[in-house]
Amino acid sequence: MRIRAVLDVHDLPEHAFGSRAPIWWGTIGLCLIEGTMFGLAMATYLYLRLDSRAWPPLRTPDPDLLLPTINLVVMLVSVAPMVWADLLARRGGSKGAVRFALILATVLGLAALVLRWFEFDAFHVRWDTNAYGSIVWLILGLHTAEILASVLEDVVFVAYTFRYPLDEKHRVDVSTSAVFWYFVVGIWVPLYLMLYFTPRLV
Amino acid sequence: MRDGSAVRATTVAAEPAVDERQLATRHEALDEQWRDRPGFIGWLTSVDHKSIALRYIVTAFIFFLLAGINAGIMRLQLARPDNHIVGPDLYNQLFTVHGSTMMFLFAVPIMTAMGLYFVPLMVGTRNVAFPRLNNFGYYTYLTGGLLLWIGFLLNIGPDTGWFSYVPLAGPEFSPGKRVDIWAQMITFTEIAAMVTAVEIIVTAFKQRAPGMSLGRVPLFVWAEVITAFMIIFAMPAVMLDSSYLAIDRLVGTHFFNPAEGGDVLLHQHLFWFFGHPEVYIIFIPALGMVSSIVETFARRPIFGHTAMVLSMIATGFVAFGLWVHHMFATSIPQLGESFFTAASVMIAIPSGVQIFCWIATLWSGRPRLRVPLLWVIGFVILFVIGGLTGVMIASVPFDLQVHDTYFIVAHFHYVLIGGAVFPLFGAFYYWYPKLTGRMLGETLGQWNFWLFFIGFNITFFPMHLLGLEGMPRRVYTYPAGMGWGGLNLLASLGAPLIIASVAVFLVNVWRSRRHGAVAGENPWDAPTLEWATSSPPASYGFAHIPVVHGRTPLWETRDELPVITGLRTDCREVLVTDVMDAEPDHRYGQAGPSVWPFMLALAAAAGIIASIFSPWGTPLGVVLATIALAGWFWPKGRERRELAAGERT
Repeated sequence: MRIRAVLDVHDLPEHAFGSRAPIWWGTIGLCLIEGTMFGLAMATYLYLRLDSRAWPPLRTPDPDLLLPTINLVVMLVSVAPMVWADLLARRGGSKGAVRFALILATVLGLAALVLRWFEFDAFHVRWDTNAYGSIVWLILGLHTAEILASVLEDVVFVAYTFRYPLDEKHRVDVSTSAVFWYFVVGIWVPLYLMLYFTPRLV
Repeated sequence: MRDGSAVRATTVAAEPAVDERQLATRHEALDEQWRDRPGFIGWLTSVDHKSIALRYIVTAFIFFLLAGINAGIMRLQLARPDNHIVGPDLYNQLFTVHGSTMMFLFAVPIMTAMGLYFVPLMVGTRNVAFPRLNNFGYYTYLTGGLLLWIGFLLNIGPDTGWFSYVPLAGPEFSPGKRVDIWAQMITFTEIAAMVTAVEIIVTAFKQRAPGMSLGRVPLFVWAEVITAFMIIFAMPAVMLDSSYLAIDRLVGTHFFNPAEGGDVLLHQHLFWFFGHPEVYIIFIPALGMVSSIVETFARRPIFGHTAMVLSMIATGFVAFGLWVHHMFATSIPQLGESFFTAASVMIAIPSGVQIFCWIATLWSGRPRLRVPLLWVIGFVILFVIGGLTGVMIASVPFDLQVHDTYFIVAHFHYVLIGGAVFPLFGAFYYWYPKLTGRMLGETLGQWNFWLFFIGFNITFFPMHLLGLEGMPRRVYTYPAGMGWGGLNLLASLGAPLIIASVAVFLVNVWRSRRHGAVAGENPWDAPTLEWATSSPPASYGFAHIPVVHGRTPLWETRDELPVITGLRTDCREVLVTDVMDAEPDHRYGQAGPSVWPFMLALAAAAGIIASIFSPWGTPLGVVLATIALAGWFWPKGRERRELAAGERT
């Protein structure tokens, strides 16, 4: 078949941020998958509760509030340097500034991981004690894996900025990785409310 | 979301058609960029959606043949009463591996693989959105399949049915590693399916040819996109469910242990929350195939395009409200059961809309009864039969009578083979010329169809009657006094016809590869963009990205294809367009071949397989996957040189 040129695209830019970029849509896809998984884990938690006369089950105290709440605050605060890194990446901020924001976010992420280690104890139950223990450990474990993945991604970005220039492609990557970070922190809010407050409601 | 600088593509007024010599150098330059590396390493590192999709298709078809052999052995065993060709233990493995393979290793992967091959071509782009991820997906899928089948051949195949209900599949009643192999096979195949789903959605959303607004997207692409969304919302359920099962068995959690507050029905809820949409995940791509075939062979645009799209979306939504109809025989409250009966009957509405649209298209068109259309007609007949029994068993009292009998086996084989395998064979005949450049033989195609159609009905129709007579599914034999011998023998006599049909198909494929009629670009005079490029397509898909002016682009501009210019040919550049109207937005250089996706698949495999035996498998997998991902991300070769050059300037 003969072809006929009707449109020339060579003036178009080679990169774009946010919902214009395919990688942003890929990340949203990942968030949808993970979000569905957490939604179903929440459904499991509430479903198992239907079977139990007491919740938490007998001889298991209510979960502690102090340390988990501190950790929630740490995670929420960690969003700030991520927003900053995102804005710097989009607006052509210097490599040093982006790196600094990423290091800040990484440090807060690591702090959240350390606190999470102790957060498992806040439930006073083991995974193999009863079904309540099983689902609580599972939710904590899955979410810890999410934090770990985000932190590791950040560490690799930081390492990258020490070795290579921050070109447009990697600026889009930094900006998109922030979306996943927001998701990881955001999904914890309903999970936190469910895990620590629904047992206290009658 | 868009800023003003987005659309800067300029319309070229009355530029003369591109000349031949320029075109030849362009082909060379593009191929240089887009082709796979040669040899074995090229096989491991390929990021070409066509070669990966073809590998998926061939692998899935091999699993289809293997699971078919299982089915053949089962029919042999059931051919007469009190038969002892296989014992109960092997029989349990046979039907479990048969069902698990057909669902997880054949049907879903082959349906999405057709999308991986044709969605990029139909929307007019050079590759899927994340080419390396695609490679990772294939190897993850392959490992899952090998795990199941190596387990089976070592006599440690799963033996608790394709849905592995607890308590049977729990630690108490199924010691050993059989069920763990099943659970981890799920992990592998679902990771692969979810990766593919994201690929298809982003490719169809962001890489459509300019002008292909959402209203002009071909029905097959819609079908694959809707399926991909269903995968995203359904597959996490079965992954979570099989993980609960695996850790109940491995580290003593109590998700399904009622003694410690667990619940066995939790497994059924989660499994069928995935399992029912799964049926439509297999079926909706088939609807897309049928629509493509009907449109081409009726020689007119599909009747009710918008109604078709909405029906498929409606099917996708309603599919998530049906899962409890698999659990009518459990202690679900009756009001709940009524709701799910209503939802199950409701799904007949969008299905009916589609059937009528196809009939209207054929009625008002000028149909050519070639082999692909033959399979479509077979599909309509069988799917209507399967649909009717579906409406019957949506009713609770009827379902309670036939639950777990051969009536159910008959029903789901009619909807799955009739609803998915028939369209798939039609699709093979329709698209084989595009895949290979040669036509499949028409006479052998007729034999293929009629043997399958007749053999299928002889095998599966008697099962309705056996079910009504009370024969339960999953029994390895039955006593002569039950009077089920005659119908079972009849069913078993149909099986050789199906085997013969598949053999004819294989011969046809093999012979046509070398000796089939040469196809050319568009042998069927079809309207969609995959037919606007060579057969088989070059590594880069299209020499020039086409511009689209309607739903049936190749029928609208018959002698001249409008295209864009200005994409770079010295790197793997694709055109990114906006979601709604497919207006050009930016150009994007994709990643090339890499061995790291394969390494990541190996890392995941090591972690997942190790976690069959020890809880330390998970941390092992995390560490290995981190290394692989860092290797994947880290600039190498050309990218490193370009970054270094960028730093100097």
